[in-house]
Order: sequence, then C-alpha cells, then structure tokens
Amino acid sequence: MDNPVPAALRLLRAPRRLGQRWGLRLPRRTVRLRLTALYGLLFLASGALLLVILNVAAHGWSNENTQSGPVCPAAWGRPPRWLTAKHPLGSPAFPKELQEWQTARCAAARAAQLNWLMEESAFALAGMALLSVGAGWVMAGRALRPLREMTAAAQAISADDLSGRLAVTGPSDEMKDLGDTIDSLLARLQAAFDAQRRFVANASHELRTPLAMMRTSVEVAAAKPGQAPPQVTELVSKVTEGLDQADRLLENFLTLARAQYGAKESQETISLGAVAARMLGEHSGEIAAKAIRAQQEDGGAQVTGNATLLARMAGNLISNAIRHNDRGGWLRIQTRASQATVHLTVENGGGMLDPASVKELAQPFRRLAGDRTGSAHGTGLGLSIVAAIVGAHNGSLQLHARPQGGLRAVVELPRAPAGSGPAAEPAAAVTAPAGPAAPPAASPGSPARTGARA
Amino acid sequence: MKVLIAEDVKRLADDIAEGLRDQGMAVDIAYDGSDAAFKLDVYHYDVLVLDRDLPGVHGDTIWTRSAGRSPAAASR
Repeated sequence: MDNPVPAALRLLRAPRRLGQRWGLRLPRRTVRLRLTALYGLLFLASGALLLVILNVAAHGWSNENTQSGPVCPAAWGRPPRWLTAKHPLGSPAFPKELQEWQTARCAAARAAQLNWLMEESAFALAGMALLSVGAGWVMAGRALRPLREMTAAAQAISADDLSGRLAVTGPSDEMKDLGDTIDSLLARLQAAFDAQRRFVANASHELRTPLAMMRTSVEVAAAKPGQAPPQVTELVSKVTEGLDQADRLLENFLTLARAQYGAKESQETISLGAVAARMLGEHSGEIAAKAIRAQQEDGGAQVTGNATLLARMAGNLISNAIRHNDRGGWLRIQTRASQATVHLTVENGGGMLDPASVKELAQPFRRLAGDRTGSAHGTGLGLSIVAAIVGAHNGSLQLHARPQGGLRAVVELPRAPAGSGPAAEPAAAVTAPAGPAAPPAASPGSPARTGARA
Repeated sequence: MKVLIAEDVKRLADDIAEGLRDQGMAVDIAYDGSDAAFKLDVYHYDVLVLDRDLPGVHGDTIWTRSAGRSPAAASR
C-alpha cells in the first residue's frame, strides 16, 4: 500500500503535472500566490459556512412560524375557484380547508423566498470571493515587499564585495529581525574573508624575505672564486630549482590574493583577443620546444577589467594548455563576442582526462592523478588563479574534458559596454603567432565540432 | 667601486655584501633607514642597493633624497 504522505504530495503536484502534459506554463508557486490562494479559499470556506448557518436558521424560523399560524397574509390572495366551488361560502368544512390551503400556500412562498435568498447570497459570495482574491494578492504583495527588497539587496552583495548591508529600516518586527540577522552574518563573513585574504597576502610577502636570504646565500657561495666540488655545484642547482619553485608559488599566492581582493582597481577596456595573442607570443619558446601547433581565432571581444589580471588569466590558460599537451600536439585559442558576453576558449589536445575530476581543477592545489607539487607541472594554482580572476570580473570558468583527449577551458565574461576602449579591431583575424602553424582540421586530435575553421 | 647596501634583514645584507666583496667591491652596510641616510650624506657611493621597507627612514624617502645627488644609484 502506498504511503499516504507521498500520495498527498502527488495530489498537490497534480495540477503542475497536468499543466506540463498539456504544454501549459503554470505560474511559479510563489509565497505571494500561495498566500493569495489560501486567503481566497479561507474566505470562500467561511462564507459558505455562514450561508449554511443562515440557511438552517432561516428554515427553522420559517417552519416554526408556518406551523404556529398564518403570518404571511400577502401570500394568501383570493381562494382558488376549486375551493369555492367545492365548499360554498358558509359551509362548515370551508374554513378548515381554506386554512390548509393558506398554510400550504404560505409554506411554498417562504420556500421560494428562502431559495431566492440563497441564490442571491451564493452569487454575492462568489463575487466577494473574487474581490477577496484581488485584495489578498495586494495584501500579500505588501506584506512580502520587505522580503523582496531584502532579496534584491542580498543579491547585490557578492563574495568579492561583502561590504554591502541590507540595512532594513522600519518598525522592530520579524522582517527587521531577519534583516539584522543577515547583516550580522555578512559582517562575520566579511571579517573572515578579509582575514583569510590578508593572511595569504601577508604570509606570501613575509616568506619572500627568508627565500631571498636563502637564494643570496646559495648564489654567493656558488660564485666564490675557485672551482667548487661537483657535489656542491649539484646541490646549488637543486636548491636554486627549489627556490624558483617556491618563488613561483608565492607569486601565484600573491596574484590569487590580489585577484580576490584588488580586481576593482584600475579598470580599463581591452581586447581579449589582443591579450591572448600577446600571451601566446610570450609562450612561443615553450610552444616551439614542444613542437605544438598553435592557432588563434579572434572574433573581437572587448572586456572591461584589470588588464594585468586578465593577461594573467589568458597566460595561465595558455601555459596550462602547453604544459599538459602532447609533444607535437595542438593548441587553439578562440575569442568571440555575443550580445552581452564575451568568450575566451582555450583548447588543447593531449591525454584522456576524467570528466569528473576536471571540474575540480579550478580548486587550489587540485591536480589530476599523477601530478605532484614537485613535478614540472606547475604550482597547482594556475587554474584557481584563472577562476579567481574570472570570478572577480563577474564571469564564469568552465572546464571540459574533451572526448578525444585534452582540455577545453571556456571563460565567459561580461562584454564591455559599447563605445568604450580601443576602437578598431579585426572582426575575424586568424593568426598563428607562435610555433609551426597547421590547420587544426589536419591534426588527429582536432575536435569535430570546431575543426573546419580557419 | 663603492656600494652601500641598505637592508634591515641582517643576514641578507651580510650575504649580499659578501658576494659583492668577493667580486672586488668596497661595500658598506646600513641596517636601518637613519644609518643609510647618514652614510649617504657623509660618504660617496657609486651604487646604492636599497630596501624600501626600512625602519627609521623609509626607503622611498632615502631614494628621493639621494636620487638628485647620485644618478648611478640603483634600487633593489
């Protein structure tokens, strides 16, 4: 036997399911709608109950009065012809039959009156129910207005800028309590976020001094006049390598902290395609070293943001695509603009990736199986820096494991408002600034969807 | 060549000084801003290796004061 609770739930959802079956779009079940429906239903139920009580009372009163004596002379009229024909005036049976006729006539008239009353009342109730639904809609809207205002204010507060507050005004009621509670929660959140960012920034900065000391000591020792024993030379090279890696890590930490904290500084409108081209040029050495075929397609994409951070974002994506690429593989960068957004897509061939773990690559120090901090595969912060920069610019980062192997990273950013920034930009320029260029259609790992471009 | 190293981390300053001395330079060290400012006023240096965040007198102040005097000064 079915559980009664899910059965009731199914019953409640029945209208929605029917609506879906018939292709109708039912309104969203908001609190306002539900309050209005509840208000209307309650009004209808209490009105109907009132009518029933009225009906019962009126019937009782009517029966009582009909039985106790003729009280409705207006309903008598003239005695009918069959009565006067049957009993001529003055016959002893006449008054009794006349009284019976009068009583029956009176009862029928009362019943008709009661019916009329009930019909009219039912119409009035229906009308009033409609009115009460309208009044309920307005009332629920008024009662929920502070909630809507709070929702709008809370949506304007993002993780990047927690300084906003709801600051609910008005009497000390439930709504103000809710607003104040959310405000105090925001204050605690902001303090925690700030402390974390300051800690990361300060720790990274403070750690630079001991690292600089170590580097100086090693370099000074290595540069001493005279031939150093080979084991010392090897030690120096190992320590220097470790120091380089620690420096990169710290620099990335600082960039991450800056992306989360200071992206709002120095905003300017730049071409994402130009930035990507510059970054591709900066990585030309690595691209050539791995014999990667690099290709760029610039569909004109203007964004407003921190130029240094946006360049870092593109650079990290490109560097990631090179580092995790096969030797002789391919790399493609595409920028395009749509109505309100711009897209930067960086794709590369390579080994097969697990789609589930790819989604987590934007988390700090999240690497795919096999990679470790000490490897040549970077610091593990590259994509989380990209995610932080994208987030600070109100965009989104999506990472997909390509079915043919390799990674496809798509950055979506709000498009710069028209009329700002550099004017002329090629509508669809195809450049191959680095590495031995080859059409991607010719490469075996080339994606089917986008392979026929250029 | 005369070099002044203005750096408040003693070990770092000493190591840099040792490296430069190994290369045959005459090196002075100032561990705080006041000492650096004093030495710059009194002596002549060809190169100044300057840390910005110095106790006493800030590195930026020392830089602005010495920039006009010694065009060859190099900042770290």
